[in-house]
Amino acid sequence: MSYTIALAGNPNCGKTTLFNELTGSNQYVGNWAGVTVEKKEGRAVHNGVELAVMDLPGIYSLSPYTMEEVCARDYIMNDDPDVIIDIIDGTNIERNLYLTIQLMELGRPMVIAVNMMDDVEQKGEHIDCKQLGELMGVPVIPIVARKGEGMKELMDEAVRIAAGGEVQHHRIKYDYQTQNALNDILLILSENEDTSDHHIQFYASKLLEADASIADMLKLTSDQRRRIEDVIVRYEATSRYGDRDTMLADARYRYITELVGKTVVKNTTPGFMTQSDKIDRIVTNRVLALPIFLLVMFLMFSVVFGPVGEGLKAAVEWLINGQIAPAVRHLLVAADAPFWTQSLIVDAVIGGVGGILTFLPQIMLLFLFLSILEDSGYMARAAFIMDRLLRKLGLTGKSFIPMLMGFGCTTPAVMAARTMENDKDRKLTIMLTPFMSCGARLPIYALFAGIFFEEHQGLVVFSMYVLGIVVAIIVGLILKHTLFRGEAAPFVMELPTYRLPTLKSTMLHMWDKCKGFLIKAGTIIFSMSILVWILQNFSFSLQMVDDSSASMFGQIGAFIAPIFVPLGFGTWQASVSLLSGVVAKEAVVTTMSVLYGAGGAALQTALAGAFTPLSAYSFMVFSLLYMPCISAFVSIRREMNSLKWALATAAMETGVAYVVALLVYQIGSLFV
Amino acid sequence: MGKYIVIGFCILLIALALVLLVHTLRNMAKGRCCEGCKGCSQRQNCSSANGSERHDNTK
Repeated sequence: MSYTIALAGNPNCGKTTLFNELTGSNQYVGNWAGVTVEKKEGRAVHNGVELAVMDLPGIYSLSPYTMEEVCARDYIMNDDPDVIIDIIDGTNIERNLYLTIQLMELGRPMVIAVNMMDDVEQKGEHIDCKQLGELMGVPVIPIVARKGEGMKELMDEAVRIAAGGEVQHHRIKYDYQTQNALNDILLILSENEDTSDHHIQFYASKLLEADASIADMLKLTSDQRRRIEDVIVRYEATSRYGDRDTMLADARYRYITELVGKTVVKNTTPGFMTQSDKIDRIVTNRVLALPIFLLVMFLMFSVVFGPVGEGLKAAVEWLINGQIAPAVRHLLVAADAPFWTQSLIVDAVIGGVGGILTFLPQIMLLFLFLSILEDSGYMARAAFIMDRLLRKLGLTGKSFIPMLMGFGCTTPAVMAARTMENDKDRKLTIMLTPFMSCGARLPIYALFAGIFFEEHQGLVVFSMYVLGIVVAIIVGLILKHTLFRGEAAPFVMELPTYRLPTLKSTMLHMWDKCKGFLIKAGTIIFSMSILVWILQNFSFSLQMVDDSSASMFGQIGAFIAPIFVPLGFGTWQASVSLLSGVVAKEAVVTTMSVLYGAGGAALQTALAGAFTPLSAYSFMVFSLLYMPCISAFVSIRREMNSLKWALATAAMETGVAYVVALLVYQIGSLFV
Repeated sequence: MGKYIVIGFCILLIALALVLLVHTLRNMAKGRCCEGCKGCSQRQNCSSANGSERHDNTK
């Protein structure tokens, strides 16, 4: 026997944690809303019964306002799962029950799982799940999904209901006027709908909300639509709100208040604060918030580029450059292989790919810290803190969420701006997000900071991240007062409870990022290493050259290099490295490793001769701010729906990069 | 003999790299990230991502 179970609930209520627990999957679980934006399917077995488990995106209602709501609603209505497990965040029970009531209207068999019961207890509150279940006509099981508590009871109940062990009679109690209006609509629907259709109650309430998609779906006649409209007009006339949406929402909340009043014992101790409240008093404090945010970031970079990160990097460097490269070269010499094959394998493949892999420990550490910050709930506060600052400047804090994501990768970050309703704010955010320092740029900073600022690596890399934010704010201000004039949209964000990140979740998040980095090293970095090697060793007439300045790359670089002379790095090697960075930012480091034919200490010596600390910093600034990689550019074009806008964005970013790097180098030259 | 094996290997390496480069660039030109889609929070929003994720815990 096999059953289908759908997991539904509000964002950040623990659906993905439950999904992972049930299916043994390793889906990423984040401590902020909107981690799951598509449905995921998993399989599990409980007491010998096979289960197909669907993890639906987190939603607040079944109204089709967002893509997530449409996805969840369509699945529940069209695929008819055998049972719905509605997961409720026990610490936010009123708001979560709003979706529950709509799910109950659908008439599908369901179980309610009240999650985070440990947090409920910590708040000094109590939920009488048994009584809540009796009042609603749905079994209610208390669980702590993170610890696996209550899972057996939940699944026993879900399987029993899926197997048809109980005919559920959902009890939704609306006020007299609302119920009356719903009954009138039900009467109209009964003319052409089967009244035993378990969705009919849901259709009625959606029609009362004037959901046009339902009217179309039911193929209502114009006469039926007119009569339903009459019902709604009469309904609106019974309340001072005079608005169907507000009235129905009010009716639902009144029922919720009644339920909660009977089943939840709130902590009414005067001045009682949860742990999260206490932490937030300091962390989101008007004065302390920004310094704390900067301090946290600084400490993170100090560890990543401090003795721990450096030690790990040195170990990988020793392995690649000290052991593997000489051993392979020795083998090739012993096999009497031609010099060009030695150069290709050792300089291009091991030097290029290995040159990037040496930064893997530092990237792992950075993502370890970022996942801890994200899982703990602090990253959501960072957006909140930045909103306060950005609003003063006329920008919206909503922009900062894609920007925060931009610390990982620009491409998904640009797409994340899609949720912004205001078109001007959305375009502005898309244009600013590439200024955030993505993970791919980290090897560039690590390489240069390690050579030129050995004592202050953490501080220098930290300055890159801060500079990215500052430049984004300044450019944003300019654009906001020229191209994108208008009021910033208000920013509403739910701050999740602080949670101690679990080892599994943190490691999983870090592994996902590192795996992405390794995939990149094995594909685009590997192929770029060989392409760079070819371009460096062959002339335009496809003759192998001894002097690389006569190669294709040498000639292209020499043509571009004068542009970068005022920035302090007018060598052909630096120029072509930046050019290959357009394909992938890590390719800047790969190109340098291949061009200088050296890895590790030899590369450091070569670069120390080609750059000064000031020109190295200027190079890092340019790398931070210039146009993003191809996939980010394409995603900008797609999100802006215009090649012209995408080109303008890339040109603007490269122009800004040039101006800022020029200022850094020229002003710096006055002092150094 | 070893010399020719190395030369053959290098030619294969170059061919593989060029094929991989074209393939990756083609994907990137569609806006797809080199890292792949797993773990990406924007899979649903991303029109270049494809396929659905399946997880089996029945074995």
